[in-house]
Order: sequence, then structure tokens, then C-alpha cells
Amino acid sequence: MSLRVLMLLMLAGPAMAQPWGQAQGAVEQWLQGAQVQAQGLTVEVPSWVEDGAFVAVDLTLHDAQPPLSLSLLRSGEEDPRIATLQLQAWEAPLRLSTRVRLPRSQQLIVLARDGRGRLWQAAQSVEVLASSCLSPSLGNNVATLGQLQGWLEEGSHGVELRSLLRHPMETGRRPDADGQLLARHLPTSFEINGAHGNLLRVEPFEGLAANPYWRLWLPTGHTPLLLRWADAHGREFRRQLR
Amino acid sequence: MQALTRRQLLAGLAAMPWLLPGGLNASVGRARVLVIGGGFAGATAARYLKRQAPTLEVVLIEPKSAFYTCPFSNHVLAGMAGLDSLRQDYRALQRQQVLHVRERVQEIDLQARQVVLQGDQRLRYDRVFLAPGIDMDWQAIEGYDRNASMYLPHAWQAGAQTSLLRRQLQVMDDGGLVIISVPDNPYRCPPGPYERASLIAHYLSQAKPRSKLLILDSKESFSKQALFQQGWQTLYGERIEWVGRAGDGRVVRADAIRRELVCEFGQRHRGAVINLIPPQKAAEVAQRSGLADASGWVPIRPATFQAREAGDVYVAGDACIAAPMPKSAYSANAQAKVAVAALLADLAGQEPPPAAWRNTCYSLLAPGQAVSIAADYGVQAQRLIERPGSLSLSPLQAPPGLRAQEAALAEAWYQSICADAWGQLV
Repeated sequence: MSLRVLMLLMLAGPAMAQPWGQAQGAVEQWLQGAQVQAQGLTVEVPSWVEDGAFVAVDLTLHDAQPPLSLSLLRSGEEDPRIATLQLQAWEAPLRLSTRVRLPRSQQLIVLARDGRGRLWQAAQSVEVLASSCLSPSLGNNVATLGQLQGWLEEGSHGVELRSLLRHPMETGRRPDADGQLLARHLPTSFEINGAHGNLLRVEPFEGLAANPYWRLWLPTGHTPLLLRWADAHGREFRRQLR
Repeated sequence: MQALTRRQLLAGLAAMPWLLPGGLNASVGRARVLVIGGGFAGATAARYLKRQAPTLEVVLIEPKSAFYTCPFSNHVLAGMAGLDSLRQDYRALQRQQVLHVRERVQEIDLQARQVVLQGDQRLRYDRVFLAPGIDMDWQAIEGYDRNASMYLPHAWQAGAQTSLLRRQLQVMDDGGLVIISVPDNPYRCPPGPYERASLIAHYLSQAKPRSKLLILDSKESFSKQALFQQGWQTLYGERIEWVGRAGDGRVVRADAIRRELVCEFGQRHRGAVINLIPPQKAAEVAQRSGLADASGWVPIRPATFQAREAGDVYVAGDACIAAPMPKSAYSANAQAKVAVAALLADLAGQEPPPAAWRNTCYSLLAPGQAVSIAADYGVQAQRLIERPGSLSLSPLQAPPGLRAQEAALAEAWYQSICADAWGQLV
């Protein structure tokens, strides 16, 4: 074996061993070496986007049993976490949508563990073709902070819930117009409680897009729903949906 | 119209890159290049192919006898110009020995290297230059299809739709609400809807002073947002209201007969006039030919603008994925020239010349007042990139006369780019 080939193998080694980049540790901790299900989880995300600030993600999971834990991760950031979720009830198959923040091209990774301990994993690469011609960064409008949109629509596939919180999801890494870093300001939790108890609990992280958005389908019979966000400043944003 | 100086016109042209290598004519011989689509990219390509390589057989396949430009179509909506001012025909290209075939293309048969026309006639090619522009995504908004666009015009392809929207604005009662619905990225001409809002607001302020305009936007922010919003406040007071996605601005359902829009979080809006600009995709020929990806747009090889999946097919303009370049007429014209240079080099068995592009988007806030955004683009590690530090944006605190100067430049740009693409004398 030539020195050149040996060097290539040495270089390739760590990359092969760590396919999930900055999310490697989180993935390993989640899976703990266990086998994942061969099928059932699909993640739909555009293969390319013009604006990495708001990347739409749709995931579908078949045959999972509650309670269900989900982790959304990104491979290319110092803090790879996007959100962790705990779901107690959903209209099967689980269909869930959100928006994530991908400052550069990288992989989006979704991990799931259901009530029977079964594991799923799916990943998709997203190319971010950022253009400063398109949309400027969101302003930090204090007047509208915490405005919580919500909508329920009953259909043939359960009850569709859509929700959006007006919030900058400030990471502490973004400079203002004068070059000073904007203070970190992230919500700490999002909950949906129904007539029979908690349905969804979300812990959001830096990777969740500003104005966090959630869409999922719930079984009938859980309304009214109480949506509740809390942030690190002790504020709560609530909305009831019937 | 403000008189344009020769210097202004030349300034408009000088900003466009032109990179053709010399001495190619003898080596490309009588190869046949079929150009599909006669908009900014297609017309530019046909003209420059023939100009640079007169022995080349250049066939422009375009069913229409004339093209109405989207740039400056907002002027027509505001009554600042007639529809004819947008009309570009193909006579100058024909005089240049470009053969204009007035047929619709079904698909490109990549295996047989033939283009299949509507009547199943087939045309052999050596290279295809695909510039078909956009189609509306009629599946994207419930209740909004081709028929509904006869009531709620998109006017995002200029021509009959422009006239329809103009007529609706004219007959609307004073006090009626005008609604513009804007899709999420990517779509043709990112700042276009906001220029449209500006010029319609100008028209309303003159002709329907009690009327207002509501923009329902699927996005959270938009191109040149601070400049537009500053201009709206100064020029039109409270006449224009913008609602982004977080404010429930994303339209998910349309009722054409009731002239009503339903948004994602349940809000309903009825308008006297509704301009519904739906999500878009590359025109159908790109889909049928298997060149578009799951997004509906055509991936390319950035240095040459060859289709990623077919090296004999060059793609430019709104149909291709050229981000970070925006889908603009300026981009289409610039991309076409670089792609022509690469195509001719390819036919001659040479390496493509180095590629570089520039884009400028002018937007009118009102007649005689414009703002702009511009950037340079290049290729790095086989990716299209925006050149760091190249972005320029009109200042918010503009010195006296700057907005008027930019409006004159916008006019010069429009006249010169049309002349550059279709070859008409300015």
C-alpha cells in the first residue's frame, strides 16, 4: 500500500466514523448502539433552499406507539440541536411539520423512540443557496413578540393543528446593525394540553427557525386545546383553540 | 417618459457581462441549436448565438408572435404606460437569420436528441438552449386554477393577465380593497410584488383615494423590505398594509366567485380586486423532459448552465436553479450570454471561458422614484456564489435626487436590456 493511499484512508477514517458531523455525539447518545427500524420514518425537506433561515420539514412516522420521543438535529452547527419533542397522542400515522434554521448546507437528522423502545432514524441533506438579494433577517419587533397564531381544522384525517409563535429565536450569535451581538433570547418550552391531558411537549433549541411553527394531526375528542409557550425571561404566551 | 441620455443607455449595457471567446465561428460549423422560449434568456441566446457564429443554424421555437415583458408591467397596471410598451417581437432576430418556428414544444427527447413539437413533429438538434420560463403551480392553493385566474388574475406572466388586472383596478369602486397575495421563495422577480403594490397604491391615490391595498405574504420578510416600507410610509401613508406569514399572511384557499382568500390560521379576506400570485415552477416542457428536480426547477452545472442531467441542453432564466442569483430578467440575460459562450466553446471542442455574472433589480416606489439592489456572482467549488462584499443596496437615507436618478437608470436598463435581447433599435 502506497503512502498516498494510506494517508487517504487515514483521512477518510474519521469522516466515515462520524457521518453526522457536529450531531455525532447526540446521535450516538440517542441510539446507544441499538438497531433502528428499517422503515417507517420519512423526512421530507427540500434538497436545496434559497433561504436557510426557514427550511420547511415534514415528517411522517408509521406504526409508532405512544409515548413518542423525537429529536431533530443538524450536522453542521456548533449547537446541533433543533428541538426535542414528547408526544402522547396523534392521529396515526404521525404527520408533523415545522421549520428549521440551517445557516449553511448540511444534514438534517430526525431520531425517534416510541413507547415500545423501538428506534427510527432518518436524514436528508439540504443545500443552502443563500442570497442576500432575497429576504433580510427578521427584525426584533418587541410590539408583536409572543403573538400566538393557532388554527384547528377537522378533516378526514383527524384534527389538523397549525400554530406559529411570533418570536425571534435569538441565538446570541447574530450581530445587530452596529455589529453588536444581539442578546440570546430563546423560548424554553412549548406545550399542547388537551381535554385529557398533555399531548405534546417541545424543548426548542437554536436550530428551530424564528417564529416557530408546528403543524400536526390529532385524534378527535381532545379539544379544547391549550397552547402554551414559555421563555427564559419568565413570560408565557397562551392560546386556547376549540 | 423621461428622456434618456446615450450615456445612461450605454451604462445599462455595460453592466452586462460578455465573455465569448473569439475565433469560434469556423469550428462550430453548421451545427443546429434549438432555442426553446422567446423571453429574456431565449431571445438573448438566439441573438448572441447567431451574432457570434453566423454559420450556426439557430431555430427559436416560440408559439407566440410577440413577448410581453414582466419588467415594467407594473407600469401598465398603474396606467403609466400601455400594454404595447411591453411588446417585443422577433423581427430583428429573423432579420439576423434566426428561424422562428411558432410551435409549442411537448418535450425534449434526450435519447434521440430531438425536440418533439405539439403536433408530434420532431426536430433534430446538436444542442438545445432551454429558456421556457415559468408555469404557475395550479395545485398549490386550493381553489386556484387556470379558470380562477380569470377572476383573480396573477398577472405574473405579462400580457392578457396584465390587461385583466388593469381593467379590474379601473372598474373597482373607490373605497374597494385591493389584495396582493405573494408566494414563498423561490419565485420570479423577488421584489416584483412590492413594486406592484407601490405603483397600484400610486394609482389608487390618484384615481380611488378611499381605496387601500393589503399584501398577504407567505414569507416572513421580503427583498428591499426597509426601503419599500419607508417609501410606502412616506408616499402613501397608511394605504398599504403588509401582513407576513407570522401575521397570518399565507393564503391557502381561494374562492374566485366570492373574491375571498382564506389564510393558514383561518383569517378570511374579501377584496374588490385580488391579485393572487401563486407558487411557481419551471415551465411544463422542463418537467416533461425529466430535467426538473422535485422542487419543480431545473438543476444546472453552474460554470456552463448545462442541465445537470443532460450535457447537450443548456438552461437559463427563471426555469433553472441559479440561486443565489434571483429569478430576474437581468439574471436571465446575463446567464444566457455565459451559457452561449459555454455552448459555442463546447461545439468547438474548447474549454468554457471563465464565468461571471451581475444582477441589478430596480423597483419603482412611485413614478420617477426607484430603489435598487445589485450583486456579483461567480463559481467557486462548482457552486454559484454571491461575491463577498459585492452586494449594494440603495441607502435608506437617500441624498436629494438619488431616487429620481435610479428611476432614470431603471428606464435605461429596461430599454437597453430589451434591445440587447430582441435586437430592436432603442
